[in-house]
Amino acid sequence: MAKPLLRINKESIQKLEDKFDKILSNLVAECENMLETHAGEVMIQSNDEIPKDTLSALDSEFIDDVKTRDHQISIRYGYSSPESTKINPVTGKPTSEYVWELHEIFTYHVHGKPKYLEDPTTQSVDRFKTKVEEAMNNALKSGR
Amino acid sequence: MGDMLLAVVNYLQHEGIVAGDSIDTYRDFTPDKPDKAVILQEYPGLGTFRGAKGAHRRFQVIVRSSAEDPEWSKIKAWEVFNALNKPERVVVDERGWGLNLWGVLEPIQVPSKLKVDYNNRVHYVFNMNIITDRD
Repeated sequence: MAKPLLRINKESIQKLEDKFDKILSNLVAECENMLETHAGEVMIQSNDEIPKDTLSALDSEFIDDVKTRDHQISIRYGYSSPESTKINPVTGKPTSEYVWELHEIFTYHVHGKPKYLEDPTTQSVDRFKTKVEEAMNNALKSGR
Repeated sequence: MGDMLLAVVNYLQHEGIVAGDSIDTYRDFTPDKPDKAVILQEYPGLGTFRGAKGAHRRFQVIVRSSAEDPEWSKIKAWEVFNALNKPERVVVDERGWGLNLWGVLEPIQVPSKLKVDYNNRVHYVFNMNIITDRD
């Protein structure tokens, strides 16, 4: 009978699978934490840039909980979600009716600027990539 | 020196979507008249790439209707959008046609209603990413 070229140790395979599962689980946890922190940092800059008059728009900020589904990790953040919208005390309008206009119109804002959410998000792209790399490295190290 | 917004206007004019620069289409400027207007405004994209001549840039398109023809801005916004975002042609290179536009265009969102102003003019807006030359 010919000698087998390869011997597969089932126990070793199982250990390897367990290790991969652990790394993946750690990676998901690292990314969830990272995403939540990153959203918070973006919103700090955004809070600084959003036009301020009655502060209603600013007060309507929100950061949802991180959602993980099928290894897709996401977070929503911004202003005037259905749950977070505020009523402007001067106009009586809900902030959801005008925060987008504030964001898109390139007119002079006394205290703030347009693109107060898009610009901080865009400017954070390189930092975000670095954080993803760090999260992956941490998860890989934890699997050793 | 190049001018990305002017190149986009020229391209839209060539496609028959707009009449032309400072006729019905304006760059980095929102005139009070005419009521029916297409306004392009550049704003910061991701910037330049090391070793590459091009840059990642962004521009906003606002289309404003007259009070008498409120549907115009929606129709025109989608015409402009569809001219800039053709699924069969992601890279626009009109330099061979005597126009000054090369770019990879990608929409950030589709046109949607932004507001009705104090003159009852309806505004539609969308934003575009463009990887193109530096000015």
